[in-house]
Amino acid sequence: MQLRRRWRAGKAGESQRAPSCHQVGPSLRKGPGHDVGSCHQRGTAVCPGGSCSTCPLAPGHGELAVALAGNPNVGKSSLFNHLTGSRVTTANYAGKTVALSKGRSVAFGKVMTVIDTPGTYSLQGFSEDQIVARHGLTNPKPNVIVVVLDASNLRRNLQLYVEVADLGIPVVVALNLEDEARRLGRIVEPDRLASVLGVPVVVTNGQTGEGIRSLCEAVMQAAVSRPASPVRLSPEAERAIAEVADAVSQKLPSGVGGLGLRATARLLIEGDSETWSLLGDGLAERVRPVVERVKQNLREAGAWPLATERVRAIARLAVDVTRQMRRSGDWLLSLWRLSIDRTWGPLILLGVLGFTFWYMYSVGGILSETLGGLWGDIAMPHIAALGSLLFGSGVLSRVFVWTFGSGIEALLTVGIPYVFTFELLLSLLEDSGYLNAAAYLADSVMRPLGLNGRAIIPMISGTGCNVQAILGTRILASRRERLIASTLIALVPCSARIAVIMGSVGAVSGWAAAAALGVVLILIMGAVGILLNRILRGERQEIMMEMFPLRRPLLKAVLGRTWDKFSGFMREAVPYMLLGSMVVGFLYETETMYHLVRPLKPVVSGILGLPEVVGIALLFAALRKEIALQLSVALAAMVTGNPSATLSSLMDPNQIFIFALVSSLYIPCLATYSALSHELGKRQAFGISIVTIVLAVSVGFLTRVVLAVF
Amino acid sequence: MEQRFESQEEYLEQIYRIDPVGQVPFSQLVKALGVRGPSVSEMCRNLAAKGLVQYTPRVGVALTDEGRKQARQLIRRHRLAERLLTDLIGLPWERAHDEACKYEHIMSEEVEQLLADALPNTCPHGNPIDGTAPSAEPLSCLELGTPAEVVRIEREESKVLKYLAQLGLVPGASVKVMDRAPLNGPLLISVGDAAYALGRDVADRVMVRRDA
Repeated sequence: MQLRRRWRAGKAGESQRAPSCHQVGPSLRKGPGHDVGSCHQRGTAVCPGGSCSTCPLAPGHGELAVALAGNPNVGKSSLFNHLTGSRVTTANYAGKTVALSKGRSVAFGKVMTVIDTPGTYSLQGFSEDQIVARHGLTNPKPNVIVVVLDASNLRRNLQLYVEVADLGIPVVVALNLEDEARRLGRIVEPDRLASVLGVPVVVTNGQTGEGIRSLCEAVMQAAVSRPASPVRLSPEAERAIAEVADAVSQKLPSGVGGLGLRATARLLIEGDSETWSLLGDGLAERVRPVVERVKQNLREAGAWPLATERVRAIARLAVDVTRQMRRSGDWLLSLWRLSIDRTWGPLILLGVLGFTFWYMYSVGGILSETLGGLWGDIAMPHIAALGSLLFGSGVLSRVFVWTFGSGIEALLTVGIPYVFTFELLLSLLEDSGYLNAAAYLADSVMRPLGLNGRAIIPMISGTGCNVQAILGTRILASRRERLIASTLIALVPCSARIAVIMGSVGAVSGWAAAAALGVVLILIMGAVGILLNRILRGERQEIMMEMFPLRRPLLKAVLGRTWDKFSGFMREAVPYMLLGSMVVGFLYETETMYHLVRPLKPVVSGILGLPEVVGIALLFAALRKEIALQLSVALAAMVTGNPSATLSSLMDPNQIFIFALVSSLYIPCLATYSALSHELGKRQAFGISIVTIVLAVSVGFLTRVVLAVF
Repeated sequence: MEQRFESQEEYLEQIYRIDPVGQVPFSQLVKALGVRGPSVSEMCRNLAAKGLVQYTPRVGVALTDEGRKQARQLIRRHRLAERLLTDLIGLPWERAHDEACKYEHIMSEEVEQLLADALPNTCPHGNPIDGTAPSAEPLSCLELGTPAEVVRIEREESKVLKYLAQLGLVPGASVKVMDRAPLNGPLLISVGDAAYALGRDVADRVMVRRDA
């Protein structure tokens, strides 16, 4: 049977939704994996090999490993989610995925392990995320690679295809973002693309999940097909690759690092340092003169660099694959142009920042007050009653009220109003693609910090949660930039810290004071960045970033992601909040608290001028930042003896300002600390923590002095 | 003596590269040359004695008119040598600079003139060899909306330029500058169907020719 026949490629006009048996949900919910197409019988429709014992589709042959590859922001993660029923975060900017994700999927009775890789333009490693992507595609070798192509930018996307086709693995092309291409007036003809490339092409839609079933079918078919045939470059380039391959094959007939011989040879010619190091000293010594010679020949023939040859090969291939249509006026495109305009862009950026602040202050504030009030009026009396019913009137009863009364109140006044509302807005911004424009505009502002504009993206997402943001610095090209960006991210107020600031300074002293605190934090970050840029050796990497037009955010996706983040926050925060309240209640009721705070007194009261007991809140807030607010409110109740006391009965507005500032700056929370330690190393994480403590105490003291003078 | 002469020229060249007209801080010169401070100050005194620089001890040096003239000539010879090495005998780009550093000191005026006639008028990095208009200009100099073709990407061995090639910024690609971000920020360029933000320093290394 001829396997690489011309493919009836994927239902260009497929309007039907995924089959009815397709359900989205956590993969555990459905036995061994997410069932994509079990309504089809394996064998008749799919397995052409029948009972062939070497067929990877045969029962007992293990799982089928399928890796997704593609340029950044082409929708790999969305497809992955549809395939596996996972909910990996997706958003409209490059660099959302920085690690490999694995999920399982059952298609036609066969279990597939699907691997999602970070987006990359090439198999050559430029930054950490690209290196991760390459390893996902080569080590271990998957059975099939699905190359996800952005139909609106086919030529550039095909460059990665050309590299992947060199790997000697069967390939399926998923033509994604076809709607986007149509919107821009570009129409790709999948049938032609399939015949030109010689591999199956399936039209998919990552947002709706259309085409997923056809994709699975194609993957099953490809698993028993021969590897994709490499795209032929110019004769000179081919000769060069063959010569180097020949030199390598004497020792290593299948290349290095799971790359296969052709890709190994090509990467050696292109000077990929990882491939060279895999070669080993002895062989490298012998191969180097060959590579030098063929490079010389390529230069003379005008066929250098090889990337140029790839572009030329694609130009030959892609001539009649795309049709250009006149595009109609599109308000999103106009809005995008405006958002990156040199005059309007910065104004819009300031507007977005201002709106975010206003939105947090007003919407978050109103929600916080309402929910807190309702809880205090309606539930608190019942909890007190329940406490005395269960434990009488002793210490235990009062600790019970602390735990469930004050603990849950803190969740209602912090978690829901601030964390949820903020994540919603952030998710909307991420999905629209606006962060990309912000990175472009912010580039010159980031220059003195030794960073380029791209670093603003993880920093903005750090306002949601620092942990994700620190992983997100993998998109930065050098370790130096990652170190600077991660340190700054540890100072970026995350949603929990924003809640602390809004709930304390904002609630007591009004929006202007909260804004002033924000400005102070930004100034501190600037100063730290400038300082690090001076101290650390190395240079700033200039910005080189693809710009993506704005897309209409999909409400369902935005809400889904907000919910994921919020429920994740609640899952982690609730036990801490309840436990924290219980511990404080216990310490207070047994009067052991004062012994605990005594060692901190010189710093807390002496330097910062805060009430001694606040030391408890600061101590516990190293676990989770929102505890700072929750505990200090609880402490206010404790000190005044009035259960509904507010923060202002414990501290005056100036003290509250200092308190919020210090708790925002000092030591990143436990989760952030472990993220820093994982990404940068233990020493760096420890160093950053020490720096933040010193910074918090000295800035706190300075603020105290300044506030005392004015 | 030869050695000494060479390094004297090296000093002139280095001062010229840092600042052709203004005063170059002493510390910056020491750092750029990678030589110990006392040797630098001794050499600066020598250069000042020959009227090539104005030297303020421990503060800095500035080229005199004569010094500037000599430095410019050295750089011209350096660039010609680079062209000769890469274009005619195919020395890899990354080695051309170091080799040319030797050639620039031994080139006679006659050879210099002959090379200038025989070779293209930019060095392999795209910098004009001397006074003449460049045949290709850096992308960063292109006016907004002017279509152009990438002629050459410099230092293609380096990591950065490899990344540019991945984005499709290779010789032959057609490119347009759509906008420049405020505050000397990146360029917004379009290549084929894609748009990119490109830092100005990188854009300096992408040499383009305007479409006729």
